[in-house]
Amino acid sequence: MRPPANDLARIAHGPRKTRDSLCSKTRESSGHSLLPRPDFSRSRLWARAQCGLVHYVLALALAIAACDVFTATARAAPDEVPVNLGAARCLDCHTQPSPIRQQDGTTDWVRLTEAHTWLTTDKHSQAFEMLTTEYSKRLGERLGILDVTKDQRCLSCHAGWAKGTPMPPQLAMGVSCEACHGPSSLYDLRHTVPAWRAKPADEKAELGMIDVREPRRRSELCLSCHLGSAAEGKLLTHAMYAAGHPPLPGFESATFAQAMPPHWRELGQKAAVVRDDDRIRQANGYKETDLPDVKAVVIGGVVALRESVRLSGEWAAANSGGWPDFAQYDCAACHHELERPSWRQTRSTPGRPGRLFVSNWPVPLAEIGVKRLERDDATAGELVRQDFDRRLVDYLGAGSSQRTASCERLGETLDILLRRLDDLPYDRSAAGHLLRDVGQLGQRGDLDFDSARQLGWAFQTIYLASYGNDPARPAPQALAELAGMLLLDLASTREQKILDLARQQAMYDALGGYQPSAANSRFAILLQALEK
Amino acid sequence: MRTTLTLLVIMSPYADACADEPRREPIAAPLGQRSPWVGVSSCSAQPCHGDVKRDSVWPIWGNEVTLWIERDPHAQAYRVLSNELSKQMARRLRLEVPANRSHRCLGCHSPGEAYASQREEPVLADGVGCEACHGGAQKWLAEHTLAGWQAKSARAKRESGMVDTKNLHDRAQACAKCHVGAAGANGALGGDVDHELIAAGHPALKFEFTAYLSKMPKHWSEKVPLAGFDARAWAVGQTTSAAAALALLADRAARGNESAWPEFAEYDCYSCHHQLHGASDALPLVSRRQQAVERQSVKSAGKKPTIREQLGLPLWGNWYLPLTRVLPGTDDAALKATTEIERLMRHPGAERQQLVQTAGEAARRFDRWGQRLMEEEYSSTAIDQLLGRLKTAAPAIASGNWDGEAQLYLALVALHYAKHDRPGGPPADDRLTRSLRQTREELMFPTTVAGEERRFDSPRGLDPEAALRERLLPELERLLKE
Repeated sequence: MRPPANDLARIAHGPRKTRDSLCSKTRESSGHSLLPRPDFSRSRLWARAQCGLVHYVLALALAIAACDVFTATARAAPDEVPVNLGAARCLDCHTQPSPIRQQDGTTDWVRLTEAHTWLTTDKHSQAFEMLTTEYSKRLGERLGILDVTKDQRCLSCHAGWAKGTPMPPQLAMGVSCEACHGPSSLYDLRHTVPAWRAKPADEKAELGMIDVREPRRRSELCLSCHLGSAAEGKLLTHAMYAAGHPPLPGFESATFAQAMPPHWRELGQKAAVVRDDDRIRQANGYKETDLPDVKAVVIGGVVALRESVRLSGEWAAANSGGWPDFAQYDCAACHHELERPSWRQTRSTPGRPGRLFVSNWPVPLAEIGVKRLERDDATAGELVRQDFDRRLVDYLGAGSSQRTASCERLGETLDILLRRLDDLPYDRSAAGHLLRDVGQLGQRGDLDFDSARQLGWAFQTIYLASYGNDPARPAPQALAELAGMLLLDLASTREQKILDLARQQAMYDALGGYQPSAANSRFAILLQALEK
Repeated sequence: MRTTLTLLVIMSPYADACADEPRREPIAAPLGQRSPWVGVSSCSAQPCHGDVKRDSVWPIWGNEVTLWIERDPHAQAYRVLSNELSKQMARRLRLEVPANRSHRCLGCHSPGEAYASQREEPVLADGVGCEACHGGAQKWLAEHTLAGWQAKSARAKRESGMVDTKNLHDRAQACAKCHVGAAGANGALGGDVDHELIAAGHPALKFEFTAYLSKMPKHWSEKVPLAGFDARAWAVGQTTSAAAALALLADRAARGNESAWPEFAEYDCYSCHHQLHGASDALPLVSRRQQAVERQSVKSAGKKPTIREQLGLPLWGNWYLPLTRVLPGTDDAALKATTEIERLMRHPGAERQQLVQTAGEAARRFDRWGQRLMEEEYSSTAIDQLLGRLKTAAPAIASGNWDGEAQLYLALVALHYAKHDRPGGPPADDRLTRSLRQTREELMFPTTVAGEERRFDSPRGLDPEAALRERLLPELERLLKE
């Protein structure tokens, strides 16, 4: 049964197949197979997806009443709040393109295989399913959580149910389309017309669609779960870690996005007809010479510190006077065997030895951001540098009474830095400088495991973005060694589960056996290789 | 007055050094609060305590200082402040004076420092000399050589400044000032080995009186009843150490500023300092701690589980307190206070004033308990009763943590010797049972990993449950049957 509202959609799109026909009949009748058949063996997921139709009908009725579907020019009424319709609705179109969509130019803009990629290879689609495992059940029992599949503390990240928002219609879909792209009730129909492509991002945002092309917004979005957000109720506490939740840090935006794997194309990868359309270029801030991954590394690196600072401030506000929640500190700062001699004792700490300072894994990449600005804009760079250095030290070593203030101050500096960085070029020449900066930071003697990992990921991504297609510049052996030592490889295959216990053990072993000197020497070799 | 002034002048360099250390009072030696010291050289005359051989006629040995210099590590306490580790530590702690000039170190490594008429090397070089334990001798130096001294009551001697080291309670108290720690402010004897010092390289302090006493080269004969000596020393040591630890906690809570509080040295080292991995190499990864939480959940079905509150928080009080529960003459109020402190220590930032009060009161109670324990009988029957209580408490004490396990082992060693009447004799390893010796091996920190020599200060890979089940409990049974 199709809901009657779909008739309207049909007018907007032209004739349209039902989902079933998309999955099987279309392929058979069209005589050529674009994709391997999607694996819907997770039939439970699939069944749940269909339950969302009820919500979909309700929300759609609202949407239709409020807007002009056909031109997609109308704006949302001020009192309209976008709501989730559930991924099943998106799957209708975004699983496999019909021949018509291929012919009418839609696939020049959008692949229409996004849901297929997500459902078959992206771990985000397993996020809820993970909660149904014995491992998660026991984890919940240890914490005294009655049912991890119903508790918002878990669902905020595992099913995109942020604090203060209505429960998404299809929890079982895990972290699905709307968790990242925004609740779709207001843009659901509007975004299906060609005119949508040239709409500015802020107009789309008013209708609920999140601008995931914008590196800052995208990183913030990822970090809301991959780091945490008190405002959205996405908080991983030390008690949860102690109960068995795997450690989160760190997070390098570009690397993690590549590992999803991408279900999208960057603007530069889209068909020429789209790429060369000036209105689309302008609306999406497209710069031909920019390497998108390189920009993502730099912006994402600063955003990671920006969001850590925000979270730390939120923790401090919630926890005045009591224990700091250990989740905001570097795991390995305490969790290491007491072995002598120890590199920890010889490094310089921002505070006193043996006292807490907040986790600093995002610091090296934020440093890369400052260096990027310094290189292009000496005046602004110098001002930001001064504030950054001073405020960072305050922030890392602040006691409980100065925590909130120190977070605010560093946050301001990072906001300025981010605004400045957005306009700078991220072309091959910039990438070359960035690689040298990363290599140099990689030689710091006090580089902890997670910081080294951030630098390793950054180097790998920028290197591939710059020389990936150049047979004369194969990836140096030292990079492979670094990847082995720091577990840089985030394998993303269909077999790859969210929680792979053997990999988790390997991770703990790598963390336990880590020596900064080993990472330092690899970065030094990489730096030499660059000079050749 | 002149001396005070001189001292103030002398102390000023490190009043400066302490300028960035708001937690520590600048030193102005409170003369008159304690008897000033006279230094080891006043005791070491050959006819007094510096003879080469033990005198068989006198009630004292006469060669105490000689033995101390030759065999006692206390005599080296000052010298270690000049070694490479101390230099490194001073750098890591950013001390503005060398370790051998910093009160932070000298409070224990050369406690005479605050009383020296000048900060001169010879006085400092005494290290932990006679007066560190026996009390400043200015007032009683002359008198204690006279005939009437022996007849004087312990109390009268105490009043003149001499510490009654014959009394095990007072002796343990003297040890605890440094070996457990004390505020050590205002020139008082003692020091605080906090987490900063430990992170910089100082060994963490874990004091157990009988074990330390047996290691110390003796320069005296015991004056307390020899029957059950080790049991008495063990019991008194337990309460006295607990009292010192609680007094130190009260002091830390009172002076701790936010960058030094919570004081991590209060907590179980290995709650945090363990590599992240599962109980074994076998998957799934379930750590011993997680297993303990699950066991507790099963046991307390329906009731509010206690251990769950500790999930992700370090243990507190698992070295000095757990065995006090089995001691004779239980002080319920003291034990109740420790339960309350344990609760407070899970949120120490919020209720620090209450902590100061509760811990201070508990410290006084434990101290009085220790004095009462001196009066107890330590007959064979009494030791068996003690062992019986220990057996009941053992699983909870040693559950999943090295500290409890090690304390239980040390208790069994002391009670083993008490049963075998080793009144103050030399520590005889061969008189320990094989299973106790094996337990000790297990408790020792690893020195090799996969054939490679490495040095650890944590019990990497120990399985406390197995050690308890396979060695300590059977050993307890055996001792009980003897």
